Amino acid sequence: MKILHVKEQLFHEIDMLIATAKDNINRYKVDDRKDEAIFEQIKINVYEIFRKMFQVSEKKALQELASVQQEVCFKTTYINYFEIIPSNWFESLEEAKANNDYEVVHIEEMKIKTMTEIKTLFEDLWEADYE
Amino acid sequence: MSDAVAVFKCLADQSRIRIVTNLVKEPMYVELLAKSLNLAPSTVSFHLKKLEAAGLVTSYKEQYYTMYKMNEDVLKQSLQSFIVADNQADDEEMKRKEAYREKIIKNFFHYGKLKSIPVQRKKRLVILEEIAKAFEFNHDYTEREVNIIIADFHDDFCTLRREFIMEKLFEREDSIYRRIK
Repeated sequence: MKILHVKEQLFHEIDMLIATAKDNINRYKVDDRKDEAIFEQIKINVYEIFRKMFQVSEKKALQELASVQQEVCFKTTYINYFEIIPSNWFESLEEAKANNDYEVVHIEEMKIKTMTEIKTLFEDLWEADYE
Repeated sequence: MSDAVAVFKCLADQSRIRIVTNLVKEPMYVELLAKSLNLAPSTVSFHLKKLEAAGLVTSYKEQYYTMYKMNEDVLKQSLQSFIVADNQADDEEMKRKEAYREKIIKNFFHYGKLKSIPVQRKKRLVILEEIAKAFEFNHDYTEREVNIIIADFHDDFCTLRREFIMEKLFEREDSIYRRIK
């Protein structure tokens, strides 16, 4: 089933990204690079959010009877989360820019960039041929 | 105290130390620093903004680039002068506080008697501390003794006695009062 194939691939990639980020955190802490360690944790949080939302979308889709309808329902639901969840981040980013709050600008841009990375990864996997 | 703390906090980061080490040699722009230090440009930008906020670096435009350079005044400052400068700021603060206390005491006391109990807590605390000087440390006072001493200053000894406890100038146990150090 397509959803399960994509799930396996996507979760593998996300878990690798999380593991890399955790390694970076340990390295940065040893190096007294506390801010960069915090940035890596923020990335992990975003990875985990969209990992979770995949499962939520999958659960909702499985309520549909036909598999084609399940796939459509799943993709629509999951992609929608890439709009809903970051909407606050975009607002916060604009407010931070208006107030020259460079720290918040950096963090919100990083969250949005990480979200985009996951979205692109998912879309590429979804479009791949599983025949 | 805040300037020294801001500078030292800012420098308590290996990436920022490395950036500063580079900028001491020559002014640089973000992408050049990023390449030199193997950091993402966005990360370098973040650190430069922090360094700028702490007064350690300044920026200027050169053709298409925003260049960053060390703040020469901070660079030339010795560690000792940093700490001494902040201690002088503390002395100024103490003088201001003492002047405020004297002003409150002058306004609210008349020949050693309290004219009225201030409404504002900050002022009330000053006059409570002043009246508390009439009590010894490490001495147990009965409630009656406390009332008599306070009454020398103001008739409303009940309110003042209660305020002593609330502001933790005195402690009370089994109706025995003791001034807190």
